[in-house]
Amino acid sequence: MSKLLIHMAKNKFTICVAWMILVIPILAIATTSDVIYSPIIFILLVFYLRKERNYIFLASAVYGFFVFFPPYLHFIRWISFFIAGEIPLRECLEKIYSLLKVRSMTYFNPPSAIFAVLATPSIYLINLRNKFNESKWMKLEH
Amino acid sequence: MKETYLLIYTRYKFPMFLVYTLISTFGIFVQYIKNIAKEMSFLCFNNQIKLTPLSNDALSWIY
Repeated sequence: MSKLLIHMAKNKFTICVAWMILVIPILAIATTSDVIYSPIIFILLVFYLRKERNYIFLASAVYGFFVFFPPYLHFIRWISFFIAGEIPLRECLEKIYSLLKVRSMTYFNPPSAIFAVLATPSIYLINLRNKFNESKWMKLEH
Repeated sequence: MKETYLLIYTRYKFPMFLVYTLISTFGIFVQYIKNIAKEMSFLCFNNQIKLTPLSNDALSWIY
């Protein structure tokens, strides 16, 4: 944790920009493909970032996946075949991986990729600010 | 776990509802407008013609 990061996390404008970076792709997904699940994902992220958390990199990876692959429900169809017993698990995972690869190579969307990458530092900064705020509250209480 | 769930459900019920409805209605509105624009583009006369270097004849410019 460097001095620059602390200075950025204490600045309110930086945190506003970080929240904008998290909101804009959600709005873009809602206007293009997914209306139902993208707001739910955003609300879940907001409640996860309410206080200091430990697994922010996992959360940012999940959020990046949802941002980078908006029709993520397409990946579930192979799981239904696996549950029906038509294909083994290995083949199911291979199909999902090949679908992911094809989607990321043919329908590569640079803006969504940029936002998916920028989600990690913005979530980190928000978490850092929450940490400082919590310590401030602790000082006020004791 | 249960306490946080109850707190979220009691205190942040309306903001959640508000955020969800705002984002989803915005998305539905924009998709509806896009659909309307797509249907209206059939009225556009020159929309079907794609000019290529090979289609340089006079008729393709007139239509």
